Amino acid sequence: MTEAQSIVFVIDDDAAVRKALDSLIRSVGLPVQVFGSAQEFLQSKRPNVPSVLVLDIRLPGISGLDFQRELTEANITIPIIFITGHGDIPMSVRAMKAGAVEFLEKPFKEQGLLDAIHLALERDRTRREREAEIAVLQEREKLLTPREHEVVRMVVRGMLNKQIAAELGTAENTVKVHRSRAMEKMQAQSLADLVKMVERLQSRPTR
Amino acid sequence: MISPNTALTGSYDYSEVARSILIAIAASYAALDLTGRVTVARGRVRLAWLSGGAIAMGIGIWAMHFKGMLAFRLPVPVEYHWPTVLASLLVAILASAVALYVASRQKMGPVEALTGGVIMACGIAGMHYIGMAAMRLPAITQFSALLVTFSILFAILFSMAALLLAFDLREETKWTVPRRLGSATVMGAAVSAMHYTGMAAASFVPASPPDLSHAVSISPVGDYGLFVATLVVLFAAIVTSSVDRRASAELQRRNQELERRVAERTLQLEAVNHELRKQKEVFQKIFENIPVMIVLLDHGGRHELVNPEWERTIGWTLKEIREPNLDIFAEAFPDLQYRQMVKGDIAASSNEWADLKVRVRDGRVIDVAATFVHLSDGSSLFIGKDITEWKRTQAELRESEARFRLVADSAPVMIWMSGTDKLCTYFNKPWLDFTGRSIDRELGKGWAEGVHPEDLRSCMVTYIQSFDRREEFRMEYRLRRHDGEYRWVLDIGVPRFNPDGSFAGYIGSCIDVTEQRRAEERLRQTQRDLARVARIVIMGELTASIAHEINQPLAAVATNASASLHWLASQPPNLDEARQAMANAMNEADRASDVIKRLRTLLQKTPPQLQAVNVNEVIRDVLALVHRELITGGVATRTELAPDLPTVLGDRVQLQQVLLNLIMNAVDAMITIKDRPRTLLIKSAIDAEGVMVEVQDSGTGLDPEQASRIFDSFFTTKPEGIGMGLSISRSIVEAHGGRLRAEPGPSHGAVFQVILPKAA
Repeated sequence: MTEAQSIVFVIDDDAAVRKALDSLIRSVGLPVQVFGSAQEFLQSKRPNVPSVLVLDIRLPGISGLDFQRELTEANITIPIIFITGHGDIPMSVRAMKAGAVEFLEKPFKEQGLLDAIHLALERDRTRREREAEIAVLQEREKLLTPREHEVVRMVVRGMLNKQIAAELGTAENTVKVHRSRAMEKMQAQSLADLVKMVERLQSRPTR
Repeated sequence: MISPNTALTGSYDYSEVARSILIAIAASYAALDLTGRVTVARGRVRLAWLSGGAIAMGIGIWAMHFKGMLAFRLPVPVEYHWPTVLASLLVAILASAVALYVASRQKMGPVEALTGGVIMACGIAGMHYIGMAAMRLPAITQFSALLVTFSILFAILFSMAALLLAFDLREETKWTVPRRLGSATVMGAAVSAMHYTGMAAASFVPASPPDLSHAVSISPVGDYGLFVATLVVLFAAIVTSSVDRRASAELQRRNQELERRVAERTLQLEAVNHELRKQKEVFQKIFENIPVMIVLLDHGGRHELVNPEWERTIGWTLKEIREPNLDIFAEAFPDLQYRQMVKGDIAASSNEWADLKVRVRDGRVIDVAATFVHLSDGSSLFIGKDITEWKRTQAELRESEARFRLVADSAPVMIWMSGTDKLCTYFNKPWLDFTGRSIDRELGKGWAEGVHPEDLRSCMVTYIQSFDRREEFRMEYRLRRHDGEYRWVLDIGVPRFNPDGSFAGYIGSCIDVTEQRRAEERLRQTQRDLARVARIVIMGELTASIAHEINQPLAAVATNASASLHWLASQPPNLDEARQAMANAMNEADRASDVIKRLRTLLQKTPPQLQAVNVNEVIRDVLALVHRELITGGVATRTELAPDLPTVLGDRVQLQQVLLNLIMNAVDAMITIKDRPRTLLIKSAIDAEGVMVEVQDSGTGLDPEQASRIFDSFFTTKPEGIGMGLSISRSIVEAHGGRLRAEPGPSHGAVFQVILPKAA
């Protein structure tokens, strides 16, 4: 089961709630790690596996929303499920806009939480896979010469070899050589494949 | 026949011997007796006694001697050469005179005794041997040197003894006569012994007949005559001495009596003199020191004597006013008519007091209370006292009294006064106008009739207790107005004191506070309503927190329950985990129920219930309620609660409300703080007045302008605040007899301090 390689993190300052969530999540066979505060979570060594953070929106010293922002700023990508004792609409909107998976109001249906956890883990797994693919493509992209790079960019824009040669001031045959080399380096099976690859590379988050 | 060179044998006629001894004793007694007389006598009488005594004594001694000679019988006829006999008599008398003189002197030392004794012994020995030389008989008298010496020594010893005895016995005492008799017997025996020793020293050797010219023979008749005559002389001497002694004793007794009386009178006089001197001194001191003017005026009205107080007061001295060109009356009483009147008073000296205006030396005119007293010799005494100051004080007092009454009667308050006996002595016009009663009915305890019967007891207790402690008091009671309506009055009484610091009673003022009380009651009601409103507002603000507070355990319950179902559903079922989850769920359910309970007490609208409250518990309760608020606000909360805190008497819910308010304020004050930790410190401590609770935050603090207004109603620094929280909190704390105050925190923020009196 792929889920065995995932983990659920819980941050809640209420020990009783923490304990209850720990028991519930474990009861469905998911590994779980609970924390009393954001600091504890940040200081912990987390395995690099698909994971989800169940976060109480009211935390001692810092609010859950602030923490969410801090994580984003620190480029720590993890799906977040907010739980709150008394939520309000603006708060949940903010949370969802900032990328929260779910916003659950206490007392919540446990199935809702569990569904959200599964969904979040799934998303995280997908994200991780995609990121892994992009990483491969990026490695391949690094092999391209600047000229090949230029040619690929123009090909993806739909330009013909002739147009490209005119643009670059070279022979059409030279363009063809560059194009086939680039296809080779990128391990693209077809033009459509290359276009898809470039699109993916361009969609990666800017740093 | 008598053979030559053979001593004649003599024999003694013992009856003669006995007679001679008798004479010796008689003479001795006479001598001792006479010594006393000579001693007491003075001048010519002494000389008379001395010579008379010497003659009598000399005759006695001589007679004894001669008798002793006659007692000696020789076998030859013996005749006596009478001039020689006479010479021996003279020697005896001289010896006696010496003896008397010596024994009657003032003192008798060994030198006097020895000298007198030797002279007297020489006299006696001389008399003896001269007497023997007068014998005319046909024999030669030979003397044994040893016996002669012995007899002379004997004479000296006897003489000294006699002198000492006589000296010793010369004073008249009770035992004088028997002692003199005894001494006389011893002396007589001694004289005789000396004589017969002297006789024994002589032996007679027959010889040619003597020259019998001037010699006589002593016949037995003559012999007897001599004996009798001697005794008579001696007896006469003794009798005379005795009579004289009695007379002398009587005289002495009278003299002593007289002296005693004189001494007595002298003592009496001294006592009288002492008393007089003392009295004089007493009057002198009074005269000099009394702060009253005293002047002695002679019958002509001139100042004879003035005392220092007069000189001080009037400014003139006695010496000055005696100058002929100074008329003190004209100085003191410049107005002629007035002067005449005063002189008339002096002349009358009627002993009545009058007020005089007197001009003193520096020109001031003083008031003198004066009287003139008539003395028996026609002079008179002026007694006066400067009463200027007293009169002025009296006038000022009257003026001050009048002013006080004017002020008191026109004051817009009711004023009363009481004396040291608690009884009221004064009520001002506003009081009388208010009660509509006459002052006579209000004085003493009369005013109490107007006090509402329900208030009378506490009113009197307050008055009496404060009075006894001399403390200021402040009380409210209902007093009947003239129209019969009972009005609430506020009565403030303070002890008053005389200028010398002694307690004089109380003075008090009353105002009608009926309207004020009604307004206060309305205000209190409004505040009560507002307090409830404010509580609801606070509750509204807290709803989010409270919902969270309840949802939290509910979430835990649901989650635990769900978890336990999952554990039971798993294959195989995990029973331990399921049980644990269920137990957790139950705990959380209890927790939720506790929250509900706390909320219920907070929301109840109950009248204030006073009970012993543990302030630390109140703090913990409130902290449990605001737990989420503190966390949300990012506030680090710390408590320093004193253990063993005394309980306070108060309403638990109201005190919770106060604390809730202060903590929520603290949280709000820290919401904008980003650059430092948001800390909340809640302290409880034992205070001198009771229990102190402090809520200290690190928020924006209070600026001075706010600090003075934060307790005002409808003053707020919060956009959504209604400005009632602190106002209500303060009124709650004050209703508990405590104080609520705010001050800046040690570095940031503010400190709110609640002091509650501990339960009695």
